[in-house]
Amino acid sequence: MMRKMCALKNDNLYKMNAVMALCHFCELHGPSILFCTQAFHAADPQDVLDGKVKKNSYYPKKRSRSSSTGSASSQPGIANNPKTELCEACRSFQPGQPGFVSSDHEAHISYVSMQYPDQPQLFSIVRNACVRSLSCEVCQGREGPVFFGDDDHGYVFSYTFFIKDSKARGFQRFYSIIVVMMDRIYLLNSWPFIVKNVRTLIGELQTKAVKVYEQEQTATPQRAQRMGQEFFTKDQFFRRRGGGSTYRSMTDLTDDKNLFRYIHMTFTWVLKTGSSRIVEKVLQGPPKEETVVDLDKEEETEEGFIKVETKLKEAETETPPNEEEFLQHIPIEMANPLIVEEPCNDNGPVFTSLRDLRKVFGSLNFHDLAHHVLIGNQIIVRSQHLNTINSLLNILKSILPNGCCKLVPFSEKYQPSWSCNFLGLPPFTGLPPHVIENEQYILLDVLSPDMCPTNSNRLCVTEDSPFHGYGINMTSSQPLPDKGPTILAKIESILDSSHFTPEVVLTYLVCLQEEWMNKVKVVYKYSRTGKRSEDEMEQLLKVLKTEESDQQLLKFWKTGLSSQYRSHLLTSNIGTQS
Amino acid sequence: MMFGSVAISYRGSTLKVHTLRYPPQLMLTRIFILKSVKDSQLDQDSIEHNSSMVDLSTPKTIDSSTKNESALAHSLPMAIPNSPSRSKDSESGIAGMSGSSSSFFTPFPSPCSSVSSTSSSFSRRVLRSQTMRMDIDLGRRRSSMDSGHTTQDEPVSRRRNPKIGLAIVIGQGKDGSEEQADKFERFFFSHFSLFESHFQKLTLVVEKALTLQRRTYITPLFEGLEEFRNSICNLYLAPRIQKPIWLDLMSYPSQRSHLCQHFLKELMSELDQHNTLNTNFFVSCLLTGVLTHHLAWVPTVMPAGVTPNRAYLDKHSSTFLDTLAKSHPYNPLWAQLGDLYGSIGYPVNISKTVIVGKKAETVCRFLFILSYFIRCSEVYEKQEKREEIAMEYKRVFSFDDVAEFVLMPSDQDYESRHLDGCTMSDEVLAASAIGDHAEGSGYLSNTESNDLETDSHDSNNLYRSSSVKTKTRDSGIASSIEHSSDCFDHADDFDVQWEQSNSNAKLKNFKKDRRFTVSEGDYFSSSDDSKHTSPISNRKLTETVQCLPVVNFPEKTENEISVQCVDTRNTTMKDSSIVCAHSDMTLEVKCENVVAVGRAPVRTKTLNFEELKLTKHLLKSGYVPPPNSLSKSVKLYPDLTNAVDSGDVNEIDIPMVDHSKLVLKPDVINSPVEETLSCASQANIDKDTVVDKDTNEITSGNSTPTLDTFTGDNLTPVTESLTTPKVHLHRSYSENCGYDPRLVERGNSVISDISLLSNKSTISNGSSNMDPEELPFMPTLSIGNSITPQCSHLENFGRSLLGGYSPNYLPDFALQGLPELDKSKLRSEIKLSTQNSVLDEPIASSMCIVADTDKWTVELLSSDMENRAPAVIPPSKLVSNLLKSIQELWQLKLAPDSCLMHLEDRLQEIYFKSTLLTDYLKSNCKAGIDEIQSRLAIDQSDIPLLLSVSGVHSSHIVYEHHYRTWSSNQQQQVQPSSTTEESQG
Repeated sequence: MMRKMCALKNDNLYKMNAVMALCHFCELHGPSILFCTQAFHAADPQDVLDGKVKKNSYYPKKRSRSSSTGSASSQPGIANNPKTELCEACRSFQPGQPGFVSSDHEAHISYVSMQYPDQPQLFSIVRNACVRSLSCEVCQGREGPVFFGDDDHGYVFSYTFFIKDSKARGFQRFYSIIVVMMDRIYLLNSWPFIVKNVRTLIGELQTKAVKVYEQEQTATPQRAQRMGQEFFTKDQFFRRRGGGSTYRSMTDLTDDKNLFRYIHMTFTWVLKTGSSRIVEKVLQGPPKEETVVDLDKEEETEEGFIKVETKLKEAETETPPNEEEFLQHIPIEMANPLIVEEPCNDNGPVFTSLRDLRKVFGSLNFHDLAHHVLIGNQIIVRSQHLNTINSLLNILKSILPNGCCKLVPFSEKYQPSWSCNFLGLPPFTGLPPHVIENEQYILLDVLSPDMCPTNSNRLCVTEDSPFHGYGINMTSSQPLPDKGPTILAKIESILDSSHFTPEVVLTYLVCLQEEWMNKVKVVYKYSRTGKRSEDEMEQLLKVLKTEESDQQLLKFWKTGLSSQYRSHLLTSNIGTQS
Repeated sequence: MMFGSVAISYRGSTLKVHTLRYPPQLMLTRIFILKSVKDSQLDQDSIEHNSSMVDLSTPKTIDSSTKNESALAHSLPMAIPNSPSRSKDSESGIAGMSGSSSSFFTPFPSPCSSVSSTSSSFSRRVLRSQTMRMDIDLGRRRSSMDSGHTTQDEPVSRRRNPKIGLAIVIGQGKDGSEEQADKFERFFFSHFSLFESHFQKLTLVVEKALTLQRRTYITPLFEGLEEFRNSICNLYLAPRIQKPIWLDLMSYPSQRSHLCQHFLKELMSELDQHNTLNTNFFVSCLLTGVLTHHLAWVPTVMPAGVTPNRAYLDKHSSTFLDTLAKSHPYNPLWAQLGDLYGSIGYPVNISKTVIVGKKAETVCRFLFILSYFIRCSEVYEKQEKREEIAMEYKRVFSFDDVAEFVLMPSDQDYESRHLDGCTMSDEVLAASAIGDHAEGSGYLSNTESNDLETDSHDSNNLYRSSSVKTKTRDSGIASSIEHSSDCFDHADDFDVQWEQSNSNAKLKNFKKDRRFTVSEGDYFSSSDDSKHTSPISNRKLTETVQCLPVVNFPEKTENEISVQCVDTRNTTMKDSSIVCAHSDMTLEVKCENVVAVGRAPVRTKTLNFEELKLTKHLLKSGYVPPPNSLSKSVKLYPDLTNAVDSGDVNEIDIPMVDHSKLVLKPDVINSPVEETLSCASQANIDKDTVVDKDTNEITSGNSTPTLDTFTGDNLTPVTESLTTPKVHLHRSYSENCGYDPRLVERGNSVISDISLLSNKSTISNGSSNMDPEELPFMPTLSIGNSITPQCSHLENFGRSLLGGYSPNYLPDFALQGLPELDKSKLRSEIKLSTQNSVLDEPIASSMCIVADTDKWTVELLSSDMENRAPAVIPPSKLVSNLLKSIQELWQLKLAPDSCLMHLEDRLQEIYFKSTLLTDYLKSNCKAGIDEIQSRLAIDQSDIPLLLSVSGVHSSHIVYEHHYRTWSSNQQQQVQPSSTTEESQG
């Protein structure tokens, strides 16, 4: 039984940061915990954030049963005390009566009231606090707040007070309300709050008790009775001690049957409000552009479903007349209709990383390719292996900010560059002539060994890689300037370094991208606010440490700014102007 | 008072706070044991500081690995909820837990490391919450403490050592004005950690004096006291930065553009003037130092995971913290303090910045500028008040078949109890009986109730209606239900009568204080209109009294309803008659003062929509539901009355059980009854004396009273429909227990919590169930503006620890300006502050950035450095570039707002760079400086900054591992002269 309870206790179902209790100095039994309210929290903060908390998982149902009812048997302190020894004055719950609970399902906390905390360790702490508050610690006038404690037994806020009782010695009884926490700083920070509320509650209790007291006094003036009475005979003395009638419960003293319900609700309120009284506002950085862009895209797919449809239709209507041209313009001379196969997703070789890609392509080709990518030219890949296309495009994507990437991993026909800058096509698909003439693009053909890649302008992979024997054909619309964007050089140097793990490479790329995105943002902002002369723009670019060769990149990357960011800029600028 | 009236056997040091009333004073007490001379060392008083002290005193000699371990163990004694060690614990039970303390020291990656972007600020708070929780971790904390004790004081020596009590009494204002005293009290308690640390210093002085200088202890004691006094005075009275820019930007978003402009202007003018070669690039150096050590800016630039809403905000406050704060309360003030001192990285350091200079204006400008970079969270206090609801409530019972019930009292009672498993105590039963109003006025006299009885008896009807009369004694003791045997014994005390009355229905009006009123369905009479007139927002609790008819049921035959209202407050009886246009019934309503104690018992019955419709339909068709269903009664817990009520409700859609037998069924007795608590807005009540039935039905299920419910148009008389009441009780009254979400918001007070109660009340489900009784939350009233930033320095570290230009050095301030600085004093102060952590957690080191605007130097003093000369902080290239580009952009007339955004972007770049560095170091453990420089293109001057930032966002293990070997390399190879930044750990 005990073992089981231990297991339950460690179930991690609950945690509490504060315990609030009502204590009483019983004339017969000394200091005793009368009523105690604890907060049970959801186990794992992470779960709360993820919304994974199951209802009631923080609510110790099974335990609570034993706690309220069987506390006497399971508590170390009371274990030897049969229930009967508890007099009415020391008791808030009748034997067998369940406790009270209030659950805050939003915050995943239940507040449970019992006579004692049912966890031994906690019990001893609260018990210790109770004893100290009622018989050790003193405060001016005996009624009032005190704070005391140490690291071992926790820290205690205690407010002692008297309740009128016409039958008690001195016509009053001694009570205290205590709040126990391990966090002394928090407890003291909350002092004014706790004092205020505890005082109110005590006032209410006292008012009620006084009323009862006065009524009783009018009915049978105790003082007169006692004065007239002879001193206790021994017999009387024992009768008084033994007879529980004098030791009346707080419910009787206040003549309020719901007293403990009320106290539960008040304690609960104090615990709950006390823990959320002070609110903190912490700012976070804006989300990465990528995240925002992703959100943007999600939205587009929601609202823009139809748009996509229409685009496709347009594309279709445009293409039929050109179909013949297609075939004419297949830029690969070796086209052999017999070998043409439907692209399949099976066993094509894949690129695993930028480095891998660079190795296969060779650094010069990679330089060109990356250059095209960075300035936003359309990248068209033709291969019979879908997974090859996919891997190639996805890896190339990684050097661009997310917002700049429009990917169509596979399409039967050519898609215009405004709809995608990464395009996968089946082998030998033709390009429309206007594209070939006017558009900026780079065409990659990944040819399997059986296509006999012998042509000189093709790259034949000789290295030991999955691409061994494959041919790669790069056709670009026009030669690029020798000097690429600044960032390209950096990317290449990252790839050059053999010391970087793939993880570092990724982090590095993110760094570079964010750095350049920030420049882009400034340019965007600058151009959006007022007319700027060319000189000024030039100045700006200088300030940003960009060069002539970066111009195209900046221009292209601007398109990658999320719509959220743009609209934010717009509003914030308005704000500035006003 | 200091020692208490009884000696405590506890051996450790104890802390106490007393308030003395006349005159208002605060007394702070510490009781500690004076160690014997041999053992005594300055810093052994507090166990917590032991480990850090070891760190300090022997920074060089201890092997780094062991040192790290010890620091680890003590600095992070927290649990990770689902870590393997924990699961082990759960198997082994508590004993296992407290025994194996080592398993508690789980490595830093916090429970929430998966919240990647927010790990630092988040985990710090989580850990705090976890450390301070009060069950399992209790054991952990204690066990670690215990071990400290046993090693520290041997039992034998303990006996020899005297207990010393040291108390400080702080008067609250000489003029004795209450306001002053209150102000100081708020300051004292919110700044307690600072007070405590000063007090701790004083304790050390005393301890030292008593052990080492016994003969002349008075003098050092008084010196210590004097210093304490000065520190407190300074802390309270020192000038503050009036408008710390970062906090103001956060608190007053509407002034953003203005604040931006102002800040950038200041920054630019300083950059123009003082970031030149002549001034040693002062601003860059200063900012480098500040960014390196006051690390709270890092979380503010770390990218948030996902935008919480569509609106793109430049920065947004994190929502996860709100969630966390609710579910796992931590102390925001503590968190804010840590932010300010920059102690959010690993290792935990405390940093301060002092600007020294004769020219106050320049110094102040720098202070202002730095208040943008030294960041912290903003702390608000919700001004909330518990809504006062009276403690007692009155309950009206109605049973249909009174006679039968009365006849078989004891058996039934016995049976019910027996079945309950003795869960229902007399108290409960009694409580369910009618209670008196707390005020005790306006009780119904016995005679009155008797009159009612007779009336009802007189009427003969085919239809049974139940009317309950409660007689309350003058004493205000609630009468108990007949139901319980006790009650029967004291039959005189109460009378509840079960009557069959057809012609006269009695309504009892419950008056509630405030807006919690029990509303009786159709018969809603408000006699107390005058009291309800106050607007909701302004209402005071006492102002609103509502009179709601509770129980009774008009029967079809009788058409007259007379409402008799007793204004309990005035102890006057008012007779008012409400005539329902369509009904001929007479309602006799008695108003009593009803206190709504609980607003909604958990086991309330909710009528679902269909039921409601059905009800309505029935009503229209002339089917009259039993009175109780219509009436609303306040109930705290299940009782007979409720059972009856619920039975009524259920009757509509469920086959009825003969009500006469109802009493006999235990479950009915225990079952929670539908509770009808409704909060009616007074205005509405005034206008409509009759409450729409629909409304009532809806509200009846709710535990929470809502004003809204009654404010609608629903208040239309429906009484006509109540012509043929059939009263049936259904057994399963408890099925639809729940709260109506609509009731969540009431007036201006927010009771969101209430709606969240579970729908199923466990209690109602079975009599044998011993689960605790579920009670609602008390409503909360917000006072004034619910949340206002704490712009005074009284309760907000952010506003109190950013100091202005003051003549003396103020040890507590995160930022301050001074004309002159005594560095040796500063040094000792720094060292002391490491020993007395204001953060309630061990501190690895403490440092102070000293920027001299006369000599244009920026130096770092660290507690690590012992007696070495302060290290010069070189400007980081990243920071200088950042400043330069902002400056140039400003010159290009980029909008201030955009400039500031760019500044933030650039700070974010620093963060990204540091992630890069961290990642690189993870894979290249032995990377040297040169390597980093060449491969990562990170300038050597940036490395300290980046490493510092890494400490915030990355696992300290990696950090630590590289940091040690690596910073030493750096010191020797690269910066032999200035080891400052690197040696911060």
